Amino acid sequence: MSGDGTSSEVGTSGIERLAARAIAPLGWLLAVLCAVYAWAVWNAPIDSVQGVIQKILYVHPPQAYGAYLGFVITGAAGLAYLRTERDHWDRLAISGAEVGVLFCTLMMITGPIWGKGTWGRWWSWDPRLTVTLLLWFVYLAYMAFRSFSAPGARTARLAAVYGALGVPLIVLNYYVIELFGSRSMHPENVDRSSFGEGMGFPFFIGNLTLFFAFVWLLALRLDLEGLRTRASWRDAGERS
Amino acid sequence: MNYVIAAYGITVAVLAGYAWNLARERRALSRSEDAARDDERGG
Repeated sequence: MSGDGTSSEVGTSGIERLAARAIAPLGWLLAVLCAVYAWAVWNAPIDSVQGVIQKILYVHPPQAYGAYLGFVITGAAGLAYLRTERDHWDRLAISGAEVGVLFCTLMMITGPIWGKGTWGRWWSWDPRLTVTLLLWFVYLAYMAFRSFSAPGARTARLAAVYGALGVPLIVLNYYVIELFGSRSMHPENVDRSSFGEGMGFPFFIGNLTLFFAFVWLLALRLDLEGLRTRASWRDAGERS
Repeated sequence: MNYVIAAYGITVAVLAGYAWNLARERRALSRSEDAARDDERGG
């Protein structure tokens, strides 16, 4: 591995030190937000068209945004790695991918649950759903590649290129409903007109809570990646 | 209502489970790192 010098330097980059320090305060903030979120969703008005199932609105889009953010971090950190060859960018890339895949998986679960309740079926080869499935496969493949490849600069470089190439799919996923017009079953992207009275606050709190959940999990995962890297260096030192 | 409970329940369970798993591994590796540091100082 290039770019970190010695085992003691792993985890000492600015972003890793920030992540390690932020874990505890973020955890407390998240606990408070979760309580507010639960209260907001419980007290949110019931939609006149969809009924109570509409409350999945306050969890499903935030999961999508978390997935997008994770994959953008993977792409950006990968490009930063290619430019600088500093290993902490590679650790950030893999952390972003893992947490992004987690949020994408949740989106792929809550979406069909909502679909079953409103459309009467779990799945449709609707453009948004199909591109989301593709996006999920792309970053699952990234994770599989990272798991099965020997660690090192070559793997990191290949992963960086692959991770960055997946990012345009996010843009396509976001705009695919507009591209297909009325042929898409999936509702259009959320905007202010999507909300009835009393729905804006729970949606805002849902996004805020899941955003901080993402950031907290990313910090945990990045810190863990540094610990794993140092452990593997120690093991390599013991074997040599 | 069941669909809503399922959506939120799965979200909470998965995120909490993932966080717990990360925290458990962090604790184990931190202890291992502290032990290695103590060995280096003692040796």
